[in-house]
Amino acid sequence: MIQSAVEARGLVKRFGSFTAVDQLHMTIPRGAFYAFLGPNGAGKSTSISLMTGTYAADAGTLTILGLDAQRSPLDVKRRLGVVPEELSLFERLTGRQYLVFSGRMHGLDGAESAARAEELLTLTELSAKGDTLVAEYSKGMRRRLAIAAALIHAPDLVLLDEPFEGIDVLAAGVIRELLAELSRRGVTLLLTTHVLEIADRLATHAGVIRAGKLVDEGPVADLKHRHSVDSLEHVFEKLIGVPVARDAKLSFYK
Amino acid sequence: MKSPGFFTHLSLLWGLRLRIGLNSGAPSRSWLTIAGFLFSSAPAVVLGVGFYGLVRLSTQLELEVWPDFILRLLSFVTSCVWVTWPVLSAGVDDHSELSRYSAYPISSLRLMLASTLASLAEPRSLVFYGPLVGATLGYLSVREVSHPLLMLLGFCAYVLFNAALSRVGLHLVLNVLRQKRSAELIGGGFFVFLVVASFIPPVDTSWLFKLGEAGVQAVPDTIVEDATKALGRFPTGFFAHALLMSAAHNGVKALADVLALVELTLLAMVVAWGLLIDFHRQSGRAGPAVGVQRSRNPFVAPKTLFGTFVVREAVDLFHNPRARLLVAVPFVLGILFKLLSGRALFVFLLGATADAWLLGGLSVYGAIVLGSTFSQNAFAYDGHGFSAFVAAPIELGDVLRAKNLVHACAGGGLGALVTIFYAVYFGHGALLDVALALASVATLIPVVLTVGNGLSLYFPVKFHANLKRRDKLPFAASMIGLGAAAIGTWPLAFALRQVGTAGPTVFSLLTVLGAAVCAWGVYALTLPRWIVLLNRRRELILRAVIRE
Repeated sequence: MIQSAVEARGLVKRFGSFTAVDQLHMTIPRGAFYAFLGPNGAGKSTSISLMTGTYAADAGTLTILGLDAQRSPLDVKRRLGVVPEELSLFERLTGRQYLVFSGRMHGLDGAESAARAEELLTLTELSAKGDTLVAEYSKGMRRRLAIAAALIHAPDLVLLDEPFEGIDVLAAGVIRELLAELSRRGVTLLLTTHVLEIADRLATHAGVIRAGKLVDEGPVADLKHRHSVDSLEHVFEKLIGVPVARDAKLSFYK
Repeated sequence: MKSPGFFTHLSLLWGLRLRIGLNSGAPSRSWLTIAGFLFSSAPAVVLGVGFYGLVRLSTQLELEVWPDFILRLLSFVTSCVWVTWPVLSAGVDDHSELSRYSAYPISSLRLMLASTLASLAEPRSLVFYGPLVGATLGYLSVREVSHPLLMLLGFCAYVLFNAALSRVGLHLVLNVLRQKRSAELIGGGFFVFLVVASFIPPVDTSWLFKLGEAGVQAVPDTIVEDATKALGRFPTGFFAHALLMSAAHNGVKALADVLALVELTLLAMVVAWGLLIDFHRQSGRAGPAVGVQRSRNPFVAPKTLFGTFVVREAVDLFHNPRARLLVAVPFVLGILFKLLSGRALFVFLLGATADAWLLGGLSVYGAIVLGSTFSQNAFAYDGHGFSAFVAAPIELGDVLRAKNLVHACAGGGLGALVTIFYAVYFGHGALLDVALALASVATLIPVVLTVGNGLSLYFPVKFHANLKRRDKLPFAASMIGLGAAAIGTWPLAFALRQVGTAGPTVFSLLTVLGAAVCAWGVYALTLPRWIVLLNRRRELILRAVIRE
């Protein structure tokens, strides 16, 4: 029985002289909804890129769903769904074409891919726009399409990098419900977000990263108890330290 | 779930390209896209038939090496064009977009192999390979080869070798362009190239001038034979050599040529893959902050808002890796031209007008590659910066004016630099030739700006300066851009055709200058109209240039 969906030990990633991920130790239990929190540039997206195999780690080990992510990246990808922060969808495909293409790339046959695409389009409320080019989609629609594409092969683990960034309340609501449903069905989810209120509402586990190092992680309830606070936002503030602009004055502002 | 095999991936990538191509027009007008594809492939048929006849004819000449020479020369030229095409346009292909495919269970090596094979089905393949296919079929129609299947395999190996070589070239260039000091690296490489080239002795071209009296027989046999040998030593000549060996019923040597091509193809693909991985390893988002010193901040100096726009556009262009590459192209072409003693051929064909054609041609080409490339989609690299322009209390027209000014200066400046380079490096070209070249550049610039403004408003597309995305202008926009370049170049061609081989006159210069005045007049008249349209279409442009 595999206990952890993701297990990182001493993970390091450098870009030249800059260390983006520095001795990262991280454990995500199977079936958990894990909120991966941290300020901009802390190393969240780089960590996710290491999990997806986009980048190779300079040191450390990374086990995903019981597989060595560095030795068997393709086996990992077959069981992984990814929604990157910077969406790079094929603009000149329609939403429906894009989903079927994604399914085929994951090894589904054409008929199965098309059937799943229809179901996902309905679930993400994109059916009416299924034959519109992705280039014509709004930001929220793109996010929903990217999530649909990440789910088409029924992955065991889904990585979502800032899925709520820059989208409206309605789109956020659809995504939130979808993630809650996936979590109920036992899919392991890793979510990075700056909207801590959503993380608080959805996540079962959380980890906070700062300057490439994980400063704390665990079940959300344990984290709150450990830091004697009542919300993830306060846990975040305690671990990261919120800069206070005292005596903020602008000389040119009369 | 069974993983897709290589051929499934290949068909998926092939299908993806086809679908994207068909979707580029209105859904109801897919036939128009297909017609455009066929139309753009039409020159291949003409060239193929032409070379089919030429090779058949060459087999009747006394010197038996002629068909071999033509085949090897065509193979060499085809390889050069195939390899340099993506490099010159800094064209990024699917496999370079590793991040786009990171979610799929496909290895980077397989992605590169599949996208390389899929790229062979583009219209340019038909155009580039048309002449060689025609020449090969012409040769096969008069010579019986003993191993036709092996020859088919040999041709496929040759095509794959070119594709692999183009990947090496492209990734090498992309890796250089990603470096912070890419300008210095390109400049240094250019200097080394110039120094090395100066040690290569010039080709004896005196025989060229006897062609008029004695026809093709005037070409010394030794020159054709030596050239054939030289072209055969380079791997691009292996296929033609295999064909020759097969016609001579020497199957072993033919097989050896084909195997050598396969081996070199595999080697090139491994090198290309290594370069690709290195490119992505070094292109992470995170990195040490490189601050601009306050005293060196270029935005401190401008006194006016318009000046600020000009500086912004100039800085943007300076930091654009694609621009750096394009600047080097006309100079490299000039050096290659001198190495091959190409001027002698022009002097033979055009007499005293040769330098005017060459100077004008190279200068105008320099102006086109820089001026036209960036003015045809002026807002392409602005991305979200364009929303800052829309939101700011400024006239959008001033932004377009500033862009026009910078693109005109960049294109014109490069044209002028190339003119000076030619005059100094070749040591030829009278003052009148130089003046004519500069006047041609002055004619071309307003034409490409005028058309470029229209294209920027009606075909806005986001371009990525990080070279990690495949950016393509719509087919119609590319064709219109080409048309503009042709119109801008036409006055020079017209003036020089009028004087034949007698050399340009002051009247030629006045003709081109007159065209320049007219072109600038049209530009001045149309600019206000484009600015009105820019204000009307700004939302559409904004949506286009901020899309990922």
